[in-house]
Amino acid sequence: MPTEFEGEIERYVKSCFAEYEPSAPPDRRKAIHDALWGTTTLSPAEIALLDCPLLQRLRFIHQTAFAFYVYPSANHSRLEHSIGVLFLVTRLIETLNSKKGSDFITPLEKQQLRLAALLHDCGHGIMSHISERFYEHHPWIVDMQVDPKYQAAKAHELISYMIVKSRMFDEFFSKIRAKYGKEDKEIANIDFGKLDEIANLIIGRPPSPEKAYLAGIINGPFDADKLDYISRDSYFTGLRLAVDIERLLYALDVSPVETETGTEKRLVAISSAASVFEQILFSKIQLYPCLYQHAKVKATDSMLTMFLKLIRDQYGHFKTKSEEGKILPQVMLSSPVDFLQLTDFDLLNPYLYGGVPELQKTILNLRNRDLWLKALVISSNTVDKNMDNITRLIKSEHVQSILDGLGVEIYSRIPDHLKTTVYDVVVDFPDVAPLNEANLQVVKQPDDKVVSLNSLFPTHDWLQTYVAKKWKGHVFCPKELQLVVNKAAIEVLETRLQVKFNSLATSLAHIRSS
Amino acid sequence: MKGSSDLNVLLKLPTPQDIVATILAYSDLDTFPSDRKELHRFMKNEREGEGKQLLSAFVFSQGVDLFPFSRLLESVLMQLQLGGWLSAKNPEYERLGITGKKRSEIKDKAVERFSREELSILQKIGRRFRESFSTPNTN
Repeated sequence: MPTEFEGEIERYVKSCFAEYEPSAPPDRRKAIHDALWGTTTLSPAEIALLDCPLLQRLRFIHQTAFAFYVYPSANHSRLEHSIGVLFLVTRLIETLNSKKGSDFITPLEKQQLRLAALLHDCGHGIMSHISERFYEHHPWIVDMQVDPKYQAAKAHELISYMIVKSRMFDEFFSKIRAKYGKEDKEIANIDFGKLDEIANLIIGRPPSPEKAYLAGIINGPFDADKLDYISRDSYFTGLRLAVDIERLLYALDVSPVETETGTEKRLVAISSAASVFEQILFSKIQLYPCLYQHAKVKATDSMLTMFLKLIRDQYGHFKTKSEEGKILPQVMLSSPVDFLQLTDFDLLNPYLYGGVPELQKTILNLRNRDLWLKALVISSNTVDKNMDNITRLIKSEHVQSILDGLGVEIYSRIPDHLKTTVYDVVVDFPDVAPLNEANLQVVKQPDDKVVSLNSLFPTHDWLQTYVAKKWKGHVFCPKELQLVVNKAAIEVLETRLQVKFNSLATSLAHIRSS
Repeated sequence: MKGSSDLNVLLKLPTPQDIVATILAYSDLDTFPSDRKELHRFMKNEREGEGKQLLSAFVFSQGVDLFPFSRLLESVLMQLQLGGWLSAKNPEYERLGITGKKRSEIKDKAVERFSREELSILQKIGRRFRESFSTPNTN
């Protein structure tokens, strides 16, 4: 008996393939040119998969959501990233095979990893991680993560996993097998069981301890996903962050590693290249304050988040009318799967909100870059007393309800003549940047012993201090409310959280006088 | 959106940070090793024992990390540092520290946040933490 979650996934995947037939000619590979990694080729079956609506949707999902408002060239999409991961997966495989024997990673395993690369982000909703915040605490996701097998997987990874495991995806893939399997024996061998293995690779679960390195290529401490997103996000924003891929490939190896449950063969690198791991970690962590949690990016994220909440709470569904005034199918914003029905391009289309001025206004503000501003900055530098009363809320299961409640209370203190809508005040306490790679044993020493990066240099705690010092929460609002929200936010947060702000909390917000 | 009426209740509910902070406070250790393998292993063992209910939110991975690893516990350790309760000890970063004054503050707040039964369990876990992590010169 399928669960409700499985049922919705099946319906979604069915809708993706309802009008799609694989049409790529079975006898010709195609070249794809990528700004970052150059030219690579895809097999006909891979092209047929890439062409399907499930993946083409990613062309309209920004990799870094609204970061393009701050870094104008950060317009790269999840599709570009997926192709970049495919490129790097292939390089990692070819490097290992050149070192350890041409069939160390078999042609079938290589095909599975390449498909996993293309499919790993198919579970991302609109505006990538912004919508993920909406559904990451949904009971379907939380119930899965209670199982230790899924504990390490992020919400969107679990959705990608569910999609690839679905019966409808298998049905679609049987068409791929039928059309391309004669010329491509690896594709002919990708049956339901092999698709299941691909789904597991996406969430970092290997087919066996002997083959743990396969999962490490797609979801591990220095996987192709991370190598691509760090390189791609820094390249397209213009941030000069380095990851020396060539040196990493030179140092790449597979080695037995002792784990709690026994010996596993994991992806490692020789110790002379440990600095590349440090580079990867430092670059990843720097992307948080510089990009993902940049104040203006967060202000814009907050605008969108409140916009989606307004739609959900007041209208119950997303689409209203098309450009021609035709009523479109409604998209509810309640389940994790709902967020797959939309793309960033839908969201920013003002014609969809023709009948609802308050929705249209926000979208026009976004299109014209009339963005929200900081009204208060919350950090260890701006809070003089009881900062722990703020941090204790960060991973609370009720954090979103608490922050919403604080926002409502701040809004209630705005003078009546200035009041707009309660959705115009946001208290934002972002998650702390995740750090666990330094504790994984990935460095192979000259005596063949594999040790963690942290044992060579206290990378973890060193970076933890950096992250703690860089963390910033904010109160955001439209520019016309900045002054009043600043005053109200100080009153409410000091009373409710028993904290004391210093003058920096306001001065860092650069309050405009009118 | 949740209104202010719920806020009073929600703000008083214990959070994962409160749970870990209280255990550390009742260990009465000034410093303890920052070795993640040992810290995560300790908490996992407690979750399988007396702390089953209180530590239920801390789910430990299986078959992905090299040792049972809880992303929530890792985040909480970072939050404690950000909140000014925990600090890495320079220059080696091999130990994390929590002062006696901070421990007293945490204990005071814990009385308000936890029931008597919960507090008793957290105190016992704190004592076991002390037994597991104290070395002759740590306190």
